[in-house]
Amino acid sequence: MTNLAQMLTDTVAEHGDRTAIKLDDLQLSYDVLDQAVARAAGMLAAQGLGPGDRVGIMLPNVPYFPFVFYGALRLGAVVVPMNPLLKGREVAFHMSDSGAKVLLAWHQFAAAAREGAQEAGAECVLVEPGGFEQRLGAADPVAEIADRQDDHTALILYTSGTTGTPKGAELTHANLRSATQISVDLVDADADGVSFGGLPLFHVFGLTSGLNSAVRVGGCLTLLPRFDPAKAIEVLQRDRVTTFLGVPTMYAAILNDPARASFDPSALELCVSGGAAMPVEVLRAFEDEFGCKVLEGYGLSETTAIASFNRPDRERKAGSIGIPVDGMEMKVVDADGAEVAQGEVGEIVLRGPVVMKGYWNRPEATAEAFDEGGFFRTGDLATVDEDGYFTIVDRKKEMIIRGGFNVYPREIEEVLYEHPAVREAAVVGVPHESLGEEVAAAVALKDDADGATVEDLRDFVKQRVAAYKYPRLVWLVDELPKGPTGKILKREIEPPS
Amino acid sequence: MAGRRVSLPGDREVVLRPIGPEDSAALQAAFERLSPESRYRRFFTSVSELAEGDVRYLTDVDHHDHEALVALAGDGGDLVGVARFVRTGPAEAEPAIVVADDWQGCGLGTVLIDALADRAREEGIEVFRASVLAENPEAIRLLTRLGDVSRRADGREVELEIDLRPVQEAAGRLRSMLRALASGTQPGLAMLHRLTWRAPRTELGGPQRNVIVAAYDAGTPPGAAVAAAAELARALGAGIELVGVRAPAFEGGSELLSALQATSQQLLARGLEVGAHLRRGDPVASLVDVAAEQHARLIVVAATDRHGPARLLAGDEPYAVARHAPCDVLLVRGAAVA
Repeated sequence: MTNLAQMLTDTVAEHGDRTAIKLDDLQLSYDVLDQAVARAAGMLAAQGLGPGDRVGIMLPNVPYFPFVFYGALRLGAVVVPMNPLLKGREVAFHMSDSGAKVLLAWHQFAAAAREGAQEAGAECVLVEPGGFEQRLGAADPVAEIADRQDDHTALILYTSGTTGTPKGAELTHANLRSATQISVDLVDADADGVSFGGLPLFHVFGLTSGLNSAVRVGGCLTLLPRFDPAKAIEVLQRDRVTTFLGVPTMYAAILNDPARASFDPSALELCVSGGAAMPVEVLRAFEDEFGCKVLEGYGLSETTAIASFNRPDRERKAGSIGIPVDGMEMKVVDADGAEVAQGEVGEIVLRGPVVMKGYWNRPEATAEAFDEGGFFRTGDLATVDEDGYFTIVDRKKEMIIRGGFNVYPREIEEVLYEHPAVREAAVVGVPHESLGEEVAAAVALKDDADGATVEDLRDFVKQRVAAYKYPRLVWLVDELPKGPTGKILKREIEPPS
Repeated sequence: MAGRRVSLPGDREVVLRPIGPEDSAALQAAFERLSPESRYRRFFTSVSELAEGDVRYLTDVDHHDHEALVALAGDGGDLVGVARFVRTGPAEAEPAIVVADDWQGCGLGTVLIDALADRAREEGIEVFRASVLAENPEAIRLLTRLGDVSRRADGREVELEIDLRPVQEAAGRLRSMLRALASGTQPGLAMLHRLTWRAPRTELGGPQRNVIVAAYDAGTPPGAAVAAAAELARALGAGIELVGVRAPAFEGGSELLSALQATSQQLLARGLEVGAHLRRGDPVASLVDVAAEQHARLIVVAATDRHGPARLLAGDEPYAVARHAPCDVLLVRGAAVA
């Protein structure tokens, strides 16, 4: 009963003939989705997957994603979602750290997936249109839902924070169910709603607010595997999307696309933005243009993507991340854990039903992440105003948000240090018009660097990390700016003009 | 160069001494053994090698504006830790500390930072201003124990400002007095009479007056601090100023006031010169303020007073009083000695 997969079975009983998933011409009803999920579960069971086993899913927003996601959950397995753009060594890390034995990967990214799975000693199953349907057809359907407790892990999401290597945030069935309910209540979703499925489902924001929310109420999710503003406008119009879910860069791209002139936004009821702070001028322009409220929210992988939100029924404050969602205790505290006075800056700490269980196999990191009162330390610095609205002002953790994706400088610096010519490296975010921030690196070479160029360094990183992470801008310096005892001064690093 | 041997838990031993240019190779080797994580915490990026110039800068120091202490392993002589400061102002310096990975968590950091703080004080440094990664709680703890700290969060870094000024050295006679009082014996009190000056308060020269400030804990009988202060005041012919403090949020102060007045009456009846002060707010600040206003020679506080329903000072607060007081502070046991 507590398995999240039960949600799908309940919805199928009530809304079986309604459309669940759309991808252009393809329309799948909840009945069909259920059958596909049953066969995916059967296929995974035949691979030896059972309750508690981890399975990697490395797919873009295609209908196969919900098949294998709910199929794995139905067996009681733990899903490890991965960005399809990850490189072999990154895939290997996710697989071996989580102990996943099976990887389901999109055929277009077969090389990195196979390489990573092999290195981790896991099996790689390619998901390819046609071939995969045959595999599903050959599997025995599984209707039975494995018994899971509320605190059993459903999802392991990798996030880096300040460490060089990512940690897996363990989200439970209860976490996912709570986050889904909060998301449904927030936008008042129902079976008549159509949500925009352009946010990646391997990311917890898209998974919760997009897929799980639609499945919860029997609504429709219309998928867009690769975001393009003109295509997005076409989908919004064609499917009469009622709820738009996006990151700020998507809003800006739509706003700046010529196709918007012919867009009839009358179906659009509500827009939700997360992942990064939205420039206030973009928010205002979007609302003016399409006559539709944009609600900004805030959350982390560790809080199932959701923590605070502006509400449709209350004043919406531009630039603010709103007020805590139902059931969430949210405070701003000083270094000693005491709540700061109104208007003062402190760290956001959170406690509530959507806060993760801990970091997979990392008891020390887990212990450090929570304070004595069981509040999760976010590393985000914020203020609270007189109405209880929170505004992010800075971050304790080092992070670049590039087009809604988090890039951790530490991780990229470690890759740069693997290059034999690099003596010092600092990865920083530089302002970027459409992406918000772009990844950049200042590098000092060793004396015997042997003529390494910035192109060499950029390519070196590009080959080793997902495309959204590598520094587009690399420049050489004699040495990084340093303080008197040799600590580098990141704030003083500026790209050459 | 001669060093100082220090024993650490787990039968480990290090030799501490100032760094010198001859340590270049050992420093380089120690750097190469450091994990990326430790390098990151020390340099805020995982620097892959130290350039020749860096090593020279880090080892060839003038021991005045730039001092570094190395810890050498007792057995093999490997360099296993370095603590340094670099002067950044007339009385201000930036500290940095690094401990070899397999020596972390055994107390070496504490030994190094304490030794560094001592050297800094010798060189006239009063303030350490340190940038530490916000996600490095060990370093924050190490530095915080050196003295009063103010911190400022700045993105991934926290800037700590540590006041290194020593607590006013307690005079020998006060130490004797402390011991005598702690033992609670008559000879102790007699010795106190001999060791301390007994000038009438009106005849006092200098900035201090013959006045003792006592932290007042509500309750009957009066707290240990008041009892000890009364004994001392009688022995020294000093005046006594009682300080009661109520919490900022606590509205009804009348009970405390009447208790304070009752105790004042009792002390007056014993022939003492008594003043009473009712303050609102922080107990530490209130005690220090009254002592300053009265030019008191001594503040008496009790460690943990179980007599009063409300303890005036708890935990580290007596220590905080000592740090800020304009005079000596006597810390008495939690039980009344009178």
